[in-house]
Amino acid sequence: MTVQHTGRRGLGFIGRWGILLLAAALLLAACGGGGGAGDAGGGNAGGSGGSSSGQADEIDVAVSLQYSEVMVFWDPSDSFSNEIMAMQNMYETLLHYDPLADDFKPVLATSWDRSEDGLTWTFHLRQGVKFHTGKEMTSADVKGSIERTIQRGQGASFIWDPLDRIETPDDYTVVFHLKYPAPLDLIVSAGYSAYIFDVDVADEEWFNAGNDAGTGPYTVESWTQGEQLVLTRFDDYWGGWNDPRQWDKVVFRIVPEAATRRQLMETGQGDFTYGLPPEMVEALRSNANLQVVETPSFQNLLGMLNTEKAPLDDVRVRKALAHAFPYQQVVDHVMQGTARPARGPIPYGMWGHGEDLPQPGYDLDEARRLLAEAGYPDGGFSLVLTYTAGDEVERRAAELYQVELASLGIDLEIRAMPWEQQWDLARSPDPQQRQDILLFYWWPDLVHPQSWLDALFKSQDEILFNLSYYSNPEYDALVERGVAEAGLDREQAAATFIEAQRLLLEDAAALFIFDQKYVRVTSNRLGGYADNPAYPHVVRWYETYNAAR
Amino acid sequence: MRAFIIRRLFLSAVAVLGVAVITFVVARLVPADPAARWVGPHATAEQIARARVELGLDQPLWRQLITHMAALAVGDWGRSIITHQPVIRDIAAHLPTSLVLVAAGTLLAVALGIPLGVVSAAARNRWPDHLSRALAIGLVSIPTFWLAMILQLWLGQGAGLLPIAGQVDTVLSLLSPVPRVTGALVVDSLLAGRFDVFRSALAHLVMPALTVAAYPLGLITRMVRSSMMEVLSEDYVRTARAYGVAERRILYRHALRNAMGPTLTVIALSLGYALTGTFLVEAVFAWPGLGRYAANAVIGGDFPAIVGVTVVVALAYVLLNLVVDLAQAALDPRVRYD
Amino acid sequence: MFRRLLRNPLSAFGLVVIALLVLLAVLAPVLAPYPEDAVGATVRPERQFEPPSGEFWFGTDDLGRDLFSRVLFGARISLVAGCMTIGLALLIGVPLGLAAGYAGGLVDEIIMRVTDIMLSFPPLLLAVALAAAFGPSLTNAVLATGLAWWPWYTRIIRSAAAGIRSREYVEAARAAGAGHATIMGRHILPNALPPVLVQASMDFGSVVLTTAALGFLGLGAQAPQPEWGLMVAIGRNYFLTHPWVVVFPGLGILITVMAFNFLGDGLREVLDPRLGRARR
Repeated sequence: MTVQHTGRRGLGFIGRWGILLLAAALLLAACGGGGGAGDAGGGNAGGSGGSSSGQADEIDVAVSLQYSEVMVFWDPSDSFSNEIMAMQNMYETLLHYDPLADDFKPVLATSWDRSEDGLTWTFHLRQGVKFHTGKEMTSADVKGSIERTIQRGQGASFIWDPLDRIETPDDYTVVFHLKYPAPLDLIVSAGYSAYIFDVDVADEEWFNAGNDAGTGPYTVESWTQGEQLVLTRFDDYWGGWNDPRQWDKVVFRIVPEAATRRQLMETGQGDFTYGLPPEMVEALRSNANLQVVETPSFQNLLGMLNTEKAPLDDVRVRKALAHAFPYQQVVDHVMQGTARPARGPIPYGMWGHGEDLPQPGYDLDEARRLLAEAGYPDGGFSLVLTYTAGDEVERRAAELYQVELASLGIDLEIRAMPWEQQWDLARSPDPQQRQDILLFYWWPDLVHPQSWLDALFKSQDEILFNLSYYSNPEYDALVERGVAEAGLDREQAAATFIEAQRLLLEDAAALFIFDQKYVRVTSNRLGGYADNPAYPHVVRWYETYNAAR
Repeated sequence: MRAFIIRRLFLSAVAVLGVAVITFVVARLVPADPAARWVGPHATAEQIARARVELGLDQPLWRQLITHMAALAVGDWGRSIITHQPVIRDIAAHLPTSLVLVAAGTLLAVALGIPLGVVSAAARNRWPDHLSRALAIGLVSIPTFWLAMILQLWLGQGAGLLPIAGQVDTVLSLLSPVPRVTGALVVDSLLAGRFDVFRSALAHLVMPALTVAAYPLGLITRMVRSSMMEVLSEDYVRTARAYGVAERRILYRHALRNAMGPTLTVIALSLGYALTGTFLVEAVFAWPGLGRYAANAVIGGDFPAIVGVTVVVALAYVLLNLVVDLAQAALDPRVRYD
Repeated sequence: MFRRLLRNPLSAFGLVVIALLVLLAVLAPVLAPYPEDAVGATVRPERQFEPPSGEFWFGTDDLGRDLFSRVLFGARISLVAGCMTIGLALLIGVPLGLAAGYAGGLVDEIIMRVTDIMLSFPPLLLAVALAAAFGPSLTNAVLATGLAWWPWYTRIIRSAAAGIRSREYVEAARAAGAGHATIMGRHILPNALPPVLVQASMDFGSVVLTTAALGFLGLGAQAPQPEWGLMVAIGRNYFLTHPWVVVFPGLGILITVMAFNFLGDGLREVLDPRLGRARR
């Protein structure tokens, strides 16, 4: 927590006092709060606190500014939302995945191997790992955690679909038997539904009371719904606390208004934030006290084309629409450069991304030619586009697109809807009632091309997320083959997935608009921060430190 | 008199019942599937089906209505789709903060509106009257959400006099949180003897309160003016004048006192309006109250929350009207009991 | 009466401004320098957020469109939407009030209790709840506001109708064998209507304000429609650095609503020199 830079080197006198006060307040809050889900407020930590001893000023507190509630779910089995940002610091998984290097880091497992047929995976666990409850982790917890998550069926628990059963030959060995070959290393390192927790205390009510039972470096200190979450370091963390500059506490403050978050960052009252509009980020770039960090993300913007409804049931019309989209304009003037024009659905930086895929470019003449070929030389039809209400990027992109389509004689009606209404319309029983174009973002539940190719475009009897209503047996077969190959040979699978994407582009099943870059604004004193798109928006606070110390 | 009270109470009860029915109808008009929203953006079909049963959406409509009314009565208002918390708890958490704003705004409006109205009435059709009338009309014509932004630009960003948004200085609230007693920070900070927090909270309150005050201020000024004029043309005032009673005394002793009845009604009305007005104001000022909660619910299609807020505000409105009517009946024997 | 309205400086001013607004709204396609921008047919993303200049009098918005043209066209939307809303409220409120006042008894009791229930919501609140349920569009916003507004007119017309019902000429008509419909339509309605129409014209400002508020909450007009409330809502994301995107559309609302309220105030003064109780 930077309590106002005083202009002197490092933390000036006032800053140190502020931190003393903060420490006193947080301690009191911890004593008074009782760890419940209630208010963070503890005793009335008056201004007289702050002892003169030199120990309290060792406390470093980082502040993350969030745009919405962090703890949507408290149960690690159910987690499927914002809480990933806190949970990845409270709980751990067997492995950790670095998608840009396509590499795994051992966390709760120290080593692992896979059988020749890809059906049996054996993980050797780290010894001497303690849960926040004080218990030592054994293979029974690993088995119990995963089985509980599957049994509850919430969150991203479907990623465990390939799993047949788990065996625990001894306290530190876990054997997974699969129904079919699958990349279990990716699954056990997933951001959702792969946490290991103390199964003895695991109970929904207990979690929802604001408790955690993980092995991670931080544990819950207090939570005030809609206001803040305070994590404090877990002294018995297996990785130890070796660097005195590591954060003792991390505060997640909920500040929905971008303008306020910007102000707080500018006045040194925050160390990390994201989700600022591009215009604001531009304004912050020149601030010497702040860093703007841009990294590729696995989130992209798609425009699903209704392949079942005339006139978009004609591939030539869809292709014309794809050529009419002002990709570069949207990247330059809506995203202000914080995005990358897409190449097919799989985002840049992820395995299965095809940099050479024939992505259609903005070309109105080509669009006109295709329309004429399809029998619409002057357009003359109207389309309905839906987007999620409140999303400025989608709105602006839609309005820019509307102008392009108008020049082709196509009338685009833009409808803003809350997501569930948008989704409901997209799944109306009568395909003719559905929208023609649907704008939405997609991101992976698992760093696996399957997250797009299977969920979004494989034939679905009951429509869930195949909102293009695309159905192509050849494509389905390719995706299935790729999924099977992924458990044995990822490179081979990637090649298959790229072939499948080629079909999507040939059939113009959707507009692949851009791969978003995540833009984070951090304070200068946040050292060691590195973004990992496999765990969106997560800061591994344990790996960062107070560089101003 | 007793008959009047009983009838008035009965009508209020009917209104409350009607509020419950109307909100149910509103909630059922929504084309979207609440279950889909409940489980989140990447849900599976089974998860949605399970949520539907959990939320009681598989029941017949009349049954849902009865369940809805019964649930409202016992305080089970469902869970917000956005926060996943019980709506009633969300409302309880956000209401005090809004009430502070509404109270501050209304106080401002009353404190300024009554003298303005008196001046206007006393100077009928002369320039002070025209000026205050123009001002009053201007105030009821300003879109509050726009006024909020103009104040932010002018007093906040331009003059740098006041904090642009929020309820209290973040550093201050983080350094040493004030224990929550009433939920209203200005009150809680005083209770805790935390004058630093109190000062900061007060500074943060000024712009939102001014914005909320604008509309009621216009209403009150107009009402005081018109009811004063009515009184001033009564025979007894003319008589008093004829007997040489000082004009000042006539204005404040006789006219204003008699004008207080209708003014009271308008103040109660304004309170109800101000409560709804917070929908438009709080989001702009990042004021963590019921209005911002409602605005977010509207944007996010969070119907349990929308229904909950609607019920609370409508109930408050019914209650206010009831209290005012009863008070007037008690104070002013001229009120007709029909 | 018209002359007396013009004698009152405030209402005269209101009338002049309204006339001007109507003129601007009608002539918007001719007067706007970039009429295409107003309807969202042109964009200049590379010129977004330009401050007011000789080229763009009110500056440009987030997509580089001329704000002046858009604000001008916004007048059309607000005036038309206002008329439709009031029309709808009258269409529902007048027949109900007429029926209640004429029939009396149980019919009266039921209609008036429903009216009371509707009036136990602050009007904006009910409009917001209904518009949220109907789904966001300008038409739905008009519908929602109209549905929240009619009870006021039912009340007025009912008391007028109840007063007229027992008048001699109505009795005479009834004695002559006129049907209920004839009596209501020919004898009661013409006499009960004027106070309602006056009230409706006084309400116009509030209705415009409500439509804009719905637009601001995202429950009204949809992009790229140049509706003032929506323009302010969108501008909210950018106004601290580019104030003009919010200032001008807001001024549009303010001036329109103020003009109608000036007129309404004058009307009240003229019709009731002693000043009857203002309802709201």
